[in-house]
Amino acid sequence: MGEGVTVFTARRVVTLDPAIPTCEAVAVRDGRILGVGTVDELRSARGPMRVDDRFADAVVLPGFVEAHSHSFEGAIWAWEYAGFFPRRGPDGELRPGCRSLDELLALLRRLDAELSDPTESLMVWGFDPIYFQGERLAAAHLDTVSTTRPICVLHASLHLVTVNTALMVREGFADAAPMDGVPTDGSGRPLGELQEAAMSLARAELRAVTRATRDAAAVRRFAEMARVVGCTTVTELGAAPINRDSDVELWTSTASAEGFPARLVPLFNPARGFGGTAVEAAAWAAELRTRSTDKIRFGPVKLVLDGSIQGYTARLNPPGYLPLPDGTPRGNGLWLLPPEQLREWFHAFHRAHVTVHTHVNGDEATDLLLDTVEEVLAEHSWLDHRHTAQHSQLTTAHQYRRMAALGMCANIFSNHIFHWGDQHHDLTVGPDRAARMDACATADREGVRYSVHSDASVTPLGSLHTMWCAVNRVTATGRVLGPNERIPVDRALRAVTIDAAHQLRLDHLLGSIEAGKLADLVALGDDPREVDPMSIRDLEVRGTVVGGEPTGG
Amino acid sequence: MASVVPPPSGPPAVPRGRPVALPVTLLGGYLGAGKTTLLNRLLATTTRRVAVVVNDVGAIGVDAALVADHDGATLTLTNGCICCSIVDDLATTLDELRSLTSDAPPELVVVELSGVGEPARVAPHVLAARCRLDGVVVVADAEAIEELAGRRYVGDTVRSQLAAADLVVLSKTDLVADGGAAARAFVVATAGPRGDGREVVVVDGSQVDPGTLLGVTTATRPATPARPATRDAPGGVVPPHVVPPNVVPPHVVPPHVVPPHVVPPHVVPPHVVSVLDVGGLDRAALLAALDTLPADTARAKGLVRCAGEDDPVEVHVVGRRREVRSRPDLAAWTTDDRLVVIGAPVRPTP
Repeated sequence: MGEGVTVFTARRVVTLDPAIPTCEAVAVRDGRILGVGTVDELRSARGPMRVDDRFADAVVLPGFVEAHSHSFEGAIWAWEYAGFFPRRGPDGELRPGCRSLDELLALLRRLDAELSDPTESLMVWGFDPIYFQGERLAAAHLDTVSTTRPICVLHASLHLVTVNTALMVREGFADAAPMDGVPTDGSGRPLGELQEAAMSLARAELRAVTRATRDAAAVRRFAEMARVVGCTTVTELGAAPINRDSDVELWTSTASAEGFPARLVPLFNPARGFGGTAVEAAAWAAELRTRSTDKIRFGPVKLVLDGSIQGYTARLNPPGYLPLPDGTPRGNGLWLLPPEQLREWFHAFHRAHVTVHTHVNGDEATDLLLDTVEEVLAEHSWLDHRHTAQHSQLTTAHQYRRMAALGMCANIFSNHIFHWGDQHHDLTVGPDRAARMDACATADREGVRYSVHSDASVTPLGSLHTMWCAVNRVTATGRVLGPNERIPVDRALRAVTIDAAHQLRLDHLLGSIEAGKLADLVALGDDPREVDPMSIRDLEVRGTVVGGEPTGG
Repeated sequence: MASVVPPPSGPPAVPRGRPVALPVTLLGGYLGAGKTTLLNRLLATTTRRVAVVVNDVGAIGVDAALVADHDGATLTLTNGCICCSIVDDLATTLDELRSLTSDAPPELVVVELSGVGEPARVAPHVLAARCRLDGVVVVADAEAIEELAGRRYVGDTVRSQLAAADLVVLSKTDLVADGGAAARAFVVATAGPRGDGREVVVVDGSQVDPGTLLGVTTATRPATPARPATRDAPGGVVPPHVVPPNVVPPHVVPPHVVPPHVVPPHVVPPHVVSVLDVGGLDRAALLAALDTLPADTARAKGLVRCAGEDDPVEVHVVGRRREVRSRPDLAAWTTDDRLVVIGAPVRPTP
């Protein structure tokens, strides 16, 4: 007895198991949790075991589960970060960020000097001038870095890039704007900003970005990012294509490397080029479940119904979006699927007992999802379906009551409150609806089990940050938006562990520290339940354990 | 930390100093309206070089299943945007299409939108690919259009499609008692006036030669001075049925997408844009896959990865000539796992 048993000791272990909420140590064997208790209790029950005290001063919790993220979070780190806020990269190093135009240009000059070929293009991402004073970034600024090398600065909003003259010359539009979305100076020359669809004018750069997720290095960096922020399981929620054996292979072979530092849950999205019928899509989804490995867990699928609120493309019920500043009414958003198509896919997946995660930002999209789930349940009984409304940003109390009646889950985009809450308050839906956006407390009141998420890389990956957003509901300018929808810390903790695992159908393996579950842990500098709620996101991540193995050496 | 974007693969699609104006027609209409039927009729009868892009987002298993067989005889769009936009990848797709057909560019590209695709939102992405928006054709089901335009969830989408149309093709007019007169009046009223103040042109799909829908803007909007003339119709009033077909050199045949089972037996689609999946194959299997290409394949091209090889592999098929070689100098380039084939339908890979 005791062969191969390791016991991790901690200042405190917070188990998320209500039967034994805290303990002192966790014993692991063969990647699974053997038991919890004190070291003495564990030894008397299980015999000798090796003590690993690297987390003896830390607070150990179940590893965080991010139930809505994208591997783009790993892909984008192929380029250098130029955002406003300091951000830690997959290597664990903190980037200071660019807090002024001068800092951006200094970063670009440094990167420019590292490249030998003067025509090779240079790109940075995450640029966020919203808090800058003074001049707006233009080609003229970037031309001071290089007049020969194409330069492309991808803004944090992902709806805008700024390029230099060399890039515009390469693409043949330096002298005249070829379309709307390319602001010009008085003489008609483009200033260097490419907005929305016009971003594609920076062809090579945008193409490289959209394709970067197909790269094994991106998958690896995604898992490294997860480790850095304390997540032991992260999802790729249906943005990367998983249509063929070679797509499966990209994930499973990359993650089979020794010491791969996280579990990944890639969701199949049939709208990403699958090309078959709904029944074939359901058969493929069922087949994918059999391809799961220790680190790659296939299972649920993803569908996307509408757009985004800040992009005015989410589908809203009346009274819809606020009008434009001049009083012109704004139209509704767009559908990405016809209702008939949603129904056909949903029927096929539901019959195959495949859990469907559906992107619904606006409340009209939520209505359509609820109608559809109601219909498939009437046609085929499957009680424990866990169909999940993803984002669920404008879902109302009555919709949560319907969701509870239908046995659905929600995954709420709490990070929006910090990152876009001020825009929602001022521009998109107004103070009242902004105050009840991302309504975690309402979901609790109406009895819907939910997670909260980052949608990384739309907002940065990190469950502590997401908890902080759900608990405090503080916007970027410091406004508390909808104080009645704030949730307690222990509730937020459940949302990023056991309840996230539940909607991924992995709660029998993940999300709490209990005998028999996978030994996935995170060690923090302090207990999030005991610190000032405003400092939750500043808690130190000391390390993670995946399958009993400490990650990152 | 690499901060380098690999150079674009293939020849630059927008050569400096040369205006590029690949004309693009957007083909829209709600699910079931008959877009694919119209497209197939058009492709089966046209003598012009037409390339087709099928947007299968939201219509897969319906439109795409009709258009393509399962090994994918289509050049499809994918929704690559992480911020929920349906059309972000259209520019890239048009870009690739152009570089793949640089030897013999199509005369016209038809982009078939999904059933909820809104042409007005897609149009900027056509311009971003440095193409010219040639026209917006929307198919409307004469029997269903009025009900659809008032239906919960999708009514405003259907109305937005009509409002963006340069030309509306009424389908299924044989199913309504009045031959489509009421539907025509409804469409005209719902679409509202065009930019030039005129009402939208509505044609009966059962009567019109689908080939005349190409170059729709100049054919149907002669009074719009702002619109440049196309090569087919030099401004002025040209009724759709007199637009002359171009003379096509015998070796240059229109690329298009027609599932074999819907092509009338006497019409052989001689030139098809298709996709050959070579993901995960090793060199021998790749060569075997190329052997499955029909003898009349005009062109296939791509930079791929072969299992067991470190360097990317460049594939060029031009007629019967075939080149497959390692390109260590392109190691930093983004590779595909699919080859786009200009030729005839591809049989399933082994």
